[in-house]
Amino acid sequence: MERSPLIEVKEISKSFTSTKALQHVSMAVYPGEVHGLIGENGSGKSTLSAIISGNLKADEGEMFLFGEPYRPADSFDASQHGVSMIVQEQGTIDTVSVAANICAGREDQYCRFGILDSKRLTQDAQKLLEEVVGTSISPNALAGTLSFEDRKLVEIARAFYKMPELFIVDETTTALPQKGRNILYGLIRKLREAGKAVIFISHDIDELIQVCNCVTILRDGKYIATLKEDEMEPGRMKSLMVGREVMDNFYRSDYETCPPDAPVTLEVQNVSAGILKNISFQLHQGEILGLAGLSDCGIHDVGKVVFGLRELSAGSVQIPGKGKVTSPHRAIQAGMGFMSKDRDTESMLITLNIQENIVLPSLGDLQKLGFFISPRSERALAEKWCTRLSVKMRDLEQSCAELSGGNKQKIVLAKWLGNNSDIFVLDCPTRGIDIGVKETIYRIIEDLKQQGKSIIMISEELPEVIGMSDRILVLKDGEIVKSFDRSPDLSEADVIHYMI
Amino acid sequence: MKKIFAILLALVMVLSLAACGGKDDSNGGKTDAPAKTDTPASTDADTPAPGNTDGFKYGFASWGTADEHGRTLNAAVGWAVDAAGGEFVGDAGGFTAEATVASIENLISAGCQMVSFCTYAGEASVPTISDMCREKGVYWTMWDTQIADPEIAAYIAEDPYYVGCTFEDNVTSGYETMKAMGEAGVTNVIIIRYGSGIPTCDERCEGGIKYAGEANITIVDDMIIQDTAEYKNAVANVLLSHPEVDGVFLAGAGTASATVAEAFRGAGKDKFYIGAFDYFDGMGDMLKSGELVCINGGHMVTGTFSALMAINTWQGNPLSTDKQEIIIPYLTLKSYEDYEAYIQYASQGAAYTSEELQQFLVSYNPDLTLESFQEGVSKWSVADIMARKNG
Amino acid sequence: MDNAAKTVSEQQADRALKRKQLFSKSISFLGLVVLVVFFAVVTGGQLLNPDNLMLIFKQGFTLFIAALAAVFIMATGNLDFSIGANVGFSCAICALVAKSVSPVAGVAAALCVGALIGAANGVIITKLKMPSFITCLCMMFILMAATQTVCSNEGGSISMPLSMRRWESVGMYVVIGVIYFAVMLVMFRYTKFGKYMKALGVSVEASRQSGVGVDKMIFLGYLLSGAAAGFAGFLTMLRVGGASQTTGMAMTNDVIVAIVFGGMSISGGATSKISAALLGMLIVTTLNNGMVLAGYGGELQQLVKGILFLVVIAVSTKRDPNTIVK
Repeated sequence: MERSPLIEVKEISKSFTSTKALQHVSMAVYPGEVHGLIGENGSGKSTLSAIISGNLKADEGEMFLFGEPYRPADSFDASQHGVSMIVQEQGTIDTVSVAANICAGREDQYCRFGILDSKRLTQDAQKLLEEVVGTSISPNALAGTLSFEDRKLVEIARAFYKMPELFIVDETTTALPQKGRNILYGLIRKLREAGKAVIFISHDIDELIQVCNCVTILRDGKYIATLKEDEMEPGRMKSLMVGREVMDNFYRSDYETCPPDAPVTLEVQNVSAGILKNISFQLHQGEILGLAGLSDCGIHDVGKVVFGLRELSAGSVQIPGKGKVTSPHRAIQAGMGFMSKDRDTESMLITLNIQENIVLPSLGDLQKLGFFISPRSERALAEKWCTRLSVKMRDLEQSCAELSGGNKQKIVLAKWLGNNSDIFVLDCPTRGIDIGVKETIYRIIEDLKQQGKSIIMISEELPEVIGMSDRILVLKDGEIVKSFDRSPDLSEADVIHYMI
Repeated sequence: MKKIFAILLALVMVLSLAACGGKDDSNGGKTDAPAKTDTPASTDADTPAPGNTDGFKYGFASWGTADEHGRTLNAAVGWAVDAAGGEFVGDAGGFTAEATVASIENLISAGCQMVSFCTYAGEASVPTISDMCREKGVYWTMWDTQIADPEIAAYIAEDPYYVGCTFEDNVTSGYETMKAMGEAGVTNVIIIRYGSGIPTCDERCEGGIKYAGEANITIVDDMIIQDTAEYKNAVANVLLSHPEVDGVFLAGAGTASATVAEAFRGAGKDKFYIGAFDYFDGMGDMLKSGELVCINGGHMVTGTFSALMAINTWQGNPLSTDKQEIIIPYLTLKSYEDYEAYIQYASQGAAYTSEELQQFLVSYNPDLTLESFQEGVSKWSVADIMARKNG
Repeated sequence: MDNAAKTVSEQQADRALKRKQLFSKSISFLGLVVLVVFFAVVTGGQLLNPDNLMLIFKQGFTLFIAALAAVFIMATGNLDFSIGANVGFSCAICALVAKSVSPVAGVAAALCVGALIGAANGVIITKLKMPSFITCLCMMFILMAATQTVCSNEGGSISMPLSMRRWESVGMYVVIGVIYFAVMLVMFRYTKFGKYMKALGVSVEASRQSGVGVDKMIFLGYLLSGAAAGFAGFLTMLRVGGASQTTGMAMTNDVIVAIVFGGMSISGGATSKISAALLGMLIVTTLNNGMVLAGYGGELQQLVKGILFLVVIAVSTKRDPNTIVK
């Protein structure tokens, strides 16, 4: 085609001290395109989008917007040029109003003689909220009081203050519930029809195929390929991302369920806490129990409740033979381990080293003479599990902050394995992890099941829940609405039906 | 690596810079490093060693030199040490008793033959310091101090290395200050003490209250306020319920005079009388306007004379075999002219010339006695200074 | 498993990184060495006079006691602003009780008072959920007022009984110093208590999810700090000869400065180490002592201390995106 690219990047390179994040990457996005960008962690896709949106400066290479050299000084400058971006993490300022967030950076336009015309600002914000996002969020509400989804919508409204020429969506959809996602898809469609362009970054291959009409794959900071619409096929994309053939079926290959007469290892009775209402279920030895539902339906709270992190307003959590769980300490003593979905801030002590993280819950057991913990015993414990789980590290003294997501999860698992846990409560165990490593984690989980451990797997990735669980509980609005047994005929649609 | 070198380099640089800039000699006169005289130490610590007319190191422990009073105090000691041909070593430890003890330790360790300190942090450490000096054979004096505890007084009286102390007659000064206020016309006074249980403060007030009793001046309120920033509010509050108040007696913290004046003006009073202790910037203007009737300060010579006292003993010419107590008068300023005289003659340069100070040393003035020493010291007033300077 | 498969250059890079990290950790020690060498030269060797070295140790001893205990609570990212006031009050009570009852009772009183204050802090912070900063600050004001009242009732300062003068000796310092340090070292590095404190400094929630009893640990941290302050109060009294209204005033600042100079960050966590207290105490005391010996004036001493403190903080604060900002 003869059309000229809306934006073109040429030979972009960027390094962070010794890490080469991008090496000579070139890419072109044309008007009317929804251009996907995909790659494993470390592929450079976020770096590239940060450079295009003005948040980072490239070390080498050039960018051209509508044929003209494009060198944004910062993200605000980029948005003046028509390039705006929304990201996965929180991008709003909690302590100010929605209207202030939307017009952030443009307050000058509302100032006359130095005094802010807040009425006009609020009106403009209101207009944007209604037109762009179509919701009834009040522009005067404090951003901090809104739900995560609503805050994202505010960010979107801000990004659309001026109709962007190039809209970048960086991993935003993974954290958005369906309603928010639909709004976003609608906007993307509008942009495409108006001849603008969108760069869409996501981990979810199926979503990409659905939304984009072409996709560029990066791997290890290098450009690999750009697939056109008819070439976009999951297996092919996965292989290009990982660099080798990836088995499509990397969840469990069997369809056995857990025998119903297996001993009960965890008993949850009539539990009510926060959003949860009257939750009851049993967990058996050698069972993987999956919890599925929308992100704010309470599945994550179940995990916390079971581990004793939340106070119950009714009901109890019991371990047969070991008593009630009323605190994390009790839960751990009863043989439970918990992996929070907020890995970096809750599951691990990120600035401490690998060894320190792994031994922490087991310190009591390592004590000699009632108080002394020998470094040698700590080392032995940490080494044993790092080897068993094949953790990729420099040595045991390496700070956990330097590890990749997948290895961090391995450390968390090592921690609980090292404590001889029998019950594992895993919340979003493979979130943000590369496909290659996901596979490894699934194998570990399967292995645990074979050993007779009990596992609760909470996840928003339906394929994962369906692929791995012996039994699935679906939650909606804090209550269990349906239970499914493992079966080859179980489809996502079946589950979704009960989720919404 | 860069970070490490940065710190180490900074460390070395700062210390070197300080070393070059900072040997603390009074008035800039750099004396040659004294011959390393052996301190009369070790063997028989109870008999003072024979005197010495060589150079010496005189150690002075104070809270610091960042404020005006501290600065002039340290400088005043320097006048005496210079006049006697010695080297001044100062340690600014801070306000706590531990700091005073540490200062003395450091000064002794630095080779001082004499040390001097004040008990602003309490008297409890005096016996400890006495033991220390006795053990090392170092002579010591106390400035601005009079021991109140009889046990401690008895203890140090046994110490042959204890020379004596200098202090102000706070009761008389307080009396005279209230008298000046009374003569100016004050009738109803607030007394403000800067701390509780502090002898200096309480003695000044004692004097002031005595005069007030004799002259029928009413003491409307007697307050203890430690934070100088609070003085203004306190005065303003009293004025609300007692509008007849027309004077404030500041037992210390003279610097609060300005804010106290603001309190009066804020209450609509423009005729009022302040009597204070401790000099401060701006006192000249207040004296001129008449708001400040009388201010006592300039007692930095307490350091000068305690030094001279000690030097006499060290040189083998003790002024007395008993423990010596010298009373230091305040330099009382009652007018703007007084203030100007103070600035000209006592604040910038040395209020005494080297020759004048040498008259306080037996080695220069063989007729010197304890009484004549005290007489000379007492000639510390604005009039005296002007007479001396103008010949 | 992967270590064997690393390339030679990767292994070399690893070793270089370890060397760098080792250097980084030793920086406080290097700083101390530079300080000692510098002042030894400038004072013509006077600094290294055995009497003077003993002096440095004696002067820094109470700081040593308080700082070692403070490391625990500082490792959690909390500061104890009442340390100094605690030392002062315990010192006053110690002197009072020693005079009126008996010297040994005085020591016991100091320890009990210090521990009670620490416990009070701990309870208010964990049970009443008051912010630690405000609690300790208020405690400080209360104690300062109490100390002043007690002292002014006795005429400004309280002297210790003369019989206790003989208690102070080199032997006492060495024995107490060595035993105390050994206990603190083991407690911090090799027991649950120390390791839990360090974990709390990184993240309270993550520690909780690994089974750490948060409230209990924080309480113990303040208790320890308080008890040590009480002990330091007794030692101060011994050294100074009694208690006064201003005793201990400087201790809180000194502890924080010393620990920072010693290489630990005030937000605790991964940078926490027990050696920071010892090194920091040596650095601060050597600096003070050296400056006097070298003849630096008062303002110069303050300037040097201030600049060094800023430099240490600026260089040692990690501007690293991975660190969790509290």
